[in-house]
Amino acid sequence: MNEKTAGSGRTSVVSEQVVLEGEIHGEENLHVFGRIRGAIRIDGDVLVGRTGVVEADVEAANITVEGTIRGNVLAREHLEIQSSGTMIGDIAARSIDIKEGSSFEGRSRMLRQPASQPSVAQPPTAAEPPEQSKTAASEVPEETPPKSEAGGEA
Amino acid sequence: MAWFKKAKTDRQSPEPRPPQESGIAVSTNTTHLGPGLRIRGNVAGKDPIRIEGRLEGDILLESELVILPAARLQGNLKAPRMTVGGTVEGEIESSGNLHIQGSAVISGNIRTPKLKIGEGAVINGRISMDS
Repeated sequence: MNEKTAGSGRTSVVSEQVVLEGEIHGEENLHVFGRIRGAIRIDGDVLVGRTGVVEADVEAANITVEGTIRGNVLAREHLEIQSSGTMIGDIAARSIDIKEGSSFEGRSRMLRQPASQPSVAQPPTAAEPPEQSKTAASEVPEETPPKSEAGGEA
Repeated sequence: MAWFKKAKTDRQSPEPRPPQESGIAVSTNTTHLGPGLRIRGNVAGKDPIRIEGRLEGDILLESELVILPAARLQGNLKAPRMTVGGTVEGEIESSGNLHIQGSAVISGNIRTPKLKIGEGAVINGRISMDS
C-alpha cells in the first residue's frame, strides 16, 4: 500500500547496528532498524522497524512505527503506530491508525483532505486553537459515527 | 538431466535477490543510503554500508564501506575495508583493503596497508601505506 505514494519506489535502509546523527532529506523511502538522531524529511515513506529508534522530527508521506519515535511527526498521508510501536511527540497526519498495545504520548492533529471534504467544513477560524479533536468533533454531523474518516481510509 | 538441473538453479538464483525493492519491511544487516538521499551528519556503526547518495559528514565504521559511483561525500571516512567508486572530499583511512575504482574522484589524504587503484581514478592527496 505504501508504494503508491512513494516518490521513487527506491528504499534506503539504516540497519540495526548503524547510528546516524544529522539531517536526512531526499526522495526515497527510508527503513530504519538502527538509530537516527536529528531530522528526517523525505518525499517517500518512513518505516521505523522494531529495532529502530528515531530521535528526530520526521516528515514523510506515510509513516509506520513498529519501533520508537521520539520527536514530532508529520505524515502527509497516513500514520500507523503498530502494537510494538512507541510514539512520543506530537503527530499530524491525514489519517491515523494506532494499534492496540502501542504507546503514544503527545498531541494529535488531523490534516485536512484537500478535495474530499469540501464545503461542509468551514475554513478554520483563526481564533480556534490547534486542539483538533474538538474541532473535528463539532464538524461531524450527528448521524455519522466519528470513526468514519479513519474507516474510509483503511 | 544435468542440463535441467543447471537451468533450474540458474533461473532460481537471481530471484531471491531483488526483494530490496519490494518495500516490505525486511530487516537486513546492511545499510543502504540510496541516490535520492541527502544527509548532513555523521554515521557510525558495525554493519556494512553502501552509499549512493550525498553525505556531508564523517563515517566511522567497523565493517565494509562501499561508496558507489553516484555517491558524493564530504567528510572523513574510516573503515576496515572500503571500496570507493564515487566522489570523496576528505581523508580516507582503511585498516585493510582499500579498492579505489576507476570512477572515483578523491581529494584528500589516503592511508591504508593494502591498496588497489583502477584506471581512470582521480586522486589528489597523499597516499601513505604503512603496515
